[in-house]
Amino acid sequence: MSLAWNTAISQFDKTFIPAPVLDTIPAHTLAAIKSKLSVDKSRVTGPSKTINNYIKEVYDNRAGLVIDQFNDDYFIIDDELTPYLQAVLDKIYSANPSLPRETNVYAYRSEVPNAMSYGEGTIAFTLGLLTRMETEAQIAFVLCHELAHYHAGHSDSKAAELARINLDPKLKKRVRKIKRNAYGQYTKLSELVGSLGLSITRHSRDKEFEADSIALRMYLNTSYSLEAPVRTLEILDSADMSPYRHNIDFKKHFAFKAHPFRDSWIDYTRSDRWYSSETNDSLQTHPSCTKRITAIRRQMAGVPSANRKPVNLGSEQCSKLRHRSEFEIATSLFQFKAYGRSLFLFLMLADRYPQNSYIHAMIGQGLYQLYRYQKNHELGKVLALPDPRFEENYDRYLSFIHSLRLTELASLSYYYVSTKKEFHKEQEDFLYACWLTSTTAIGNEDPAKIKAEYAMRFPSGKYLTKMKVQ
Amino acid sequence: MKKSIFILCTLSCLCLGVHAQTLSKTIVGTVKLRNAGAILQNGLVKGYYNFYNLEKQDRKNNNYLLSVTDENLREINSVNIVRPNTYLLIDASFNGEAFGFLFYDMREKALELIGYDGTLKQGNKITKKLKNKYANASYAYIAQGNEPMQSFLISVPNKGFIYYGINEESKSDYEVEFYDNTMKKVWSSFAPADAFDFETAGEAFQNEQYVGSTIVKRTSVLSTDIDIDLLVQNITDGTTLFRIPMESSKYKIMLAEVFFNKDKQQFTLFGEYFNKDENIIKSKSLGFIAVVVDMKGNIVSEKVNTWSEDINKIVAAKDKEKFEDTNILFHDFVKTNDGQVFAIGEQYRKGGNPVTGMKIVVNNLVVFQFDADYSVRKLHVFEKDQNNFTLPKGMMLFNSKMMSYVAKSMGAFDFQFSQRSSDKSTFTVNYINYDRNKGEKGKNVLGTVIYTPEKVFAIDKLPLNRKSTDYFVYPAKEGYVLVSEYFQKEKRVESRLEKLNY
Repeated sequence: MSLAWNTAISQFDKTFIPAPVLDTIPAHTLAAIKSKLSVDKSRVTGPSKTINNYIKEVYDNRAGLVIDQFNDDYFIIDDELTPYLQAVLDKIYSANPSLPRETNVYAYRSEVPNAMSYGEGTIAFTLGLLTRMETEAQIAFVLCHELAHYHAGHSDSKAAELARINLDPKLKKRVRKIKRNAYGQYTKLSELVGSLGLSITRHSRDKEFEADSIALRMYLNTSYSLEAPVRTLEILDSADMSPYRHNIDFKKHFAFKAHPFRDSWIDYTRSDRWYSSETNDSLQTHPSCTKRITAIRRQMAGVPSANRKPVNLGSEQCSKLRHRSEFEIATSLFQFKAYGRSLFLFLMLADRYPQNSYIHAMIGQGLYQLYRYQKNHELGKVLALPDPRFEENYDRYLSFIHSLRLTELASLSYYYVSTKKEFHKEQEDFLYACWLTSTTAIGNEDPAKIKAEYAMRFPSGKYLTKMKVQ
Repeated sequence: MKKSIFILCTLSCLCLGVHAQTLSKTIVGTVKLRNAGAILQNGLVKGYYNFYNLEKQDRKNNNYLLSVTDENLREINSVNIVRPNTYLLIDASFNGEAFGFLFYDMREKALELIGYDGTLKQGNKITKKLKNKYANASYAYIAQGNEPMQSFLISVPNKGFIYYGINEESKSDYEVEFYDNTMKKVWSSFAPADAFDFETAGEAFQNEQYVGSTIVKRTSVLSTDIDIDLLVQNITDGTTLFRIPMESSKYKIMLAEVFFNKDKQQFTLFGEYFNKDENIIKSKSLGFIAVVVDMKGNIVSEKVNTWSEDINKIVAAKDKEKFEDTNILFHDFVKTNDGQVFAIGEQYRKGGNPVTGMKIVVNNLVVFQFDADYSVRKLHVFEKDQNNFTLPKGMMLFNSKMMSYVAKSMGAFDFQFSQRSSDKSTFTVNYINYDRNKGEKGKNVLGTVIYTPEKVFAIDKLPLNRKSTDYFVYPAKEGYVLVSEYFQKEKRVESRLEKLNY
């Protein structure tokens, strides 16, 4: 394991090349989604035309959502993450030949550990979940669960349920009655909506148990180890815990001779303020992992463990993907302009990979973006406010950034990059960071000279257009 | 952010008369609710309250939602309150441990003081029926959508709340009451029986030991001839430490601020000063005065800064012209932790004529800087575009000073609020101005003058884009300001915290 770890992380010692950003859904993917949509709509043949039309509209919206998410680059189309996931999916289909091959899986740009089946054939496996997966078998079980949702038609059932609720004449009558009465409208409507919510979520939780059960049957047809299903649910149970537990050493990163560190920046007192809970357990869509594990264990009782692949199959590959996903998450957040959260994650990565030029480049770029947004009085769009309900290290980080004045933000971005230029300037993202931070007019670096150097080193560089526009 | 008790007095004569005629209208007419604001603790923003009318409960009552957020706009909790549809939120306060809310029911003419703990669990509720017509008139004035002229409920750090009201048994004399954290009354004190039928009390200062109140005395409701006292009481039992007239040996004082020196056990009274035979509401002041009194109210020392000499000396040559034929209305006074005092005001001139309407012409923001020994040191002028405000007809009888008070209550001045940092080393002054830069389209701008830790002034400007139906600016946590925009069509309010740049 130690060798695997070392091998896995050594590839990121010096730099990192993120997955490509396409901006547009590939033509063949779009064609496939539209074709599938057509097929799905043709299968809607209930007795009521109104309900059928409603369901078809839900299908249109569902497909539209997937297309939008492709266009917005939530789905990753690359040569490692998505192909790996697709290969595991293929193994599951091969072990379950009765299932029609109607789905595709993609790595998904989100920090939240989750996987989603959209119902029209697309499955998303978040980067956040990839960072938690230890073995190929665990990935397979997650995919089996999403396949179960798809092949059991849960999304289609939900569409039909929505149609029933929205077009229910009795429900409409109840709403009209409430509206006719001048008194207590808000309370009565809230109660009505609440009862509907309970109904929908109860079905969702039932479907989760059903998906687990179907998934397990699919999974047992493969030769993956028996340990993975329970272990996967244990991992999901701890999904709320951040993988980053230590506090950032701000002095280590931001103390410069030309711009000394101020201790007041890291003054921090964790608030003990009480907040009312917003989670009504009855509204959660997933049953507790404990109950799911109990159900899985019951179903697996007596299943022979012979002829199964080793427990740690693919652990080396998973380790590599875990580390890769951490970089991709931080990069994705930057792409989606969540500069505050992105900077936090890159600072965390900097502790593990102190020589990585890409990380230092993104820290410099992140600081610059925070400066730029703050200058325009728009910092709130890209940086969260402190909240004692966050993990303490993240709350401390937010408190630190919010304590910085505009000129201090500019200075930190400039000196962070300029003090490292000697070591990292040959990396493209870093050289761009040098140019960006030189435009703050803090030090005496000439932006024009850096721009010329960039153009010379990277004649087809990805930042050339941005440098011309800014 | 104390309201000026002088504005209260000036307007009282206008409003009380008016409200005596319009009180019945306001009950059946549209009630404008003050439904959002900052919750302050020791002058620092600790959160916000929102008071919504969710729905009609029945013919007489509404179902309201009282929601409290922290200083980062994250909801702490919300509670439903079923109350009469003539219910109005007047004031909200937080003392570090408990929230206090003051409500007024216009139909029942009753006040409700409600205490909540930090989780918004209700404590005590005090209901006070108001028979006094002047008390009811002052609340009815607020119900018409006007800004309250004073704070009624003041937090005392970690101890409770001070309530300023009118004694029911009097014509219009004050009562000062102290409630603990659960909103249980601890003590009350009343104006003495004397020649002054109209004695109004307002906050001067409060700390864990003492509460100071400014007492403004008149013999009749329409009188503009006022006397002012400072009353200092022990917070534990309300016993009077001293009550002294706002006078020095030679002068009358328009009290602006009271500073308490715990080490020396002395109070410093700071404000503008006048000759003893002058009317402080109508006359121009002679300058600034600082009077130090001991714990018995005896004067220890006094220092004056005259307009004609001390202050005139420090006006830069380039600014002299700006001060010709102009007056200054002072909005706030700030003391920083190094002992310096800053007087924040806005220049204005009287303009217009009785035919077209009298005007107040508001222009630059000015800050007078005083050393720790209260010698005036420097004058800072912050230029901004002129703002013309036409007053309602009938104002021609007032002199410019009284007109400025009336105009301020109507929102004529650009000043919004000032805020101090928690360590009192810095402060900010916020104003809203219509900015017209050359070659650019005019736009509303939230201007902030910042006294930085480097002890210099900086200016930050935040454009306020009017996509919304209306917008409001509130004080916020240190280094920030809260902008709320109301979109009438969508019935939506958007609030955001904006960080100041300096």
